[in-house]
Amino acid sequence: MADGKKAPLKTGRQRLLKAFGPSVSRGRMVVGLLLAILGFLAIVQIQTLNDDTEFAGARREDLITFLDTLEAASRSAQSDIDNLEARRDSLRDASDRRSAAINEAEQQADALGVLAGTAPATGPGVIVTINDPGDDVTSGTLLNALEEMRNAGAEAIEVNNKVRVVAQTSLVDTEGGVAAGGVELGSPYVFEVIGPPDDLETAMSFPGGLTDEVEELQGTVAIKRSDDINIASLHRPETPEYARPAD
Amino acid sequence: MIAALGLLLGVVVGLLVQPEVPLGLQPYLPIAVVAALDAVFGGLRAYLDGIFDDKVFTVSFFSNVLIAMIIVYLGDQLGVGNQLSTGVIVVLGIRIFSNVAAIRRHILHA
Repeated sequence: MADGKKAPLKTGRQRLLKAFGPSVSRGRMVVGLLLAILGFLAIVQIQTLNDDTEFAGARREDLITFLDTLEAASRSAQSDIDNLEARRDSLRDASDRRSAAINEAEQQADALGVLAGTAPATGPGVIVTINDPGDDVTSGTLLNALEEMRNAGAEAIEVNNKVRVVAQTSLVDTEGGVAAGGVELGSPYVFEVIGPPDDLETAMSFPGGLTDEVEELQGTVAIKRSDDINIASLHRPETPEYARPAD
Repeated sequence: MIAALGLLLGVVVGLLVQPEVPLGLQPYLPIAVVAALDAVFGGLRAYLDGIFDDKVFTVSFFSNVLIAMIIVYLGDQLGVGNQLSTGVIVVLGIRIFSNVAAIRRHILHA
């Protein structure tokens, strides 16, 4: 070592400094070329790893293992999807059935409400006006009239825009006329009836029927057909005190 | 000087060209790079020892790369490619460390 330090160009450091000198020789060209190859290969490898995914340099067995794992994961995810879809379908079915049942119940409630007088009603029918100047028409006459209307298929009946006539509606004679369902009514009695207009008209005017009966009492009956009768007054239902549904 | 310029040139060419590595060569490229690195450090050490010879360096460079790749290829054929490539990397790494240690002693005298 001591000898090397004294002699020029014998230590590693001196040789390294000389190597950075400007001289050109065959050996240096070869070294430069080989280092260029090294740099090229290294950068190509680094870029291959960068651009492609992490699998670019992986070997076949690793890839196969990886693929198997992925396939298993995908199978289990697929079965999860199937389960969840089945569950979604069954929930959707249940909800469809439920909403269908609700719709049906609502329709039924509407239909029953019209019949029970708890819902407003509209439709074709007739307007029957009984004029009774002498105050001779009794509850019996009006009851007959209602019975004729019902026989003819009346579905909703309203008197004088005040009283909705239902099964419970009572007719009672009073001083000034007739009380229907507890409401005092006087002449003229206007019946708005929803039902088949032809049948209703016939039922009101057949010989010996309502018209003749009222005319005998010095009154008049006017029958007018209408395609659009609106019945707005409602019957307020009461909870039955004695009767309860029998199964 | 020329060596450093050569290294820089190789890097620049690699960045500009961006070649596609053939699929069959992909597992061997990293091994080749490490083997070449080992040859370069060996050459530097020989240079500092004053026994550098460009023919020896060239032959050792290419034979290192070739043998490393052949060993890994053989390992792949035998089904132990992973283990053999790890082994080759370990051996080359040890050689690189010992060469760098010798270089360090030359330059830093420590």
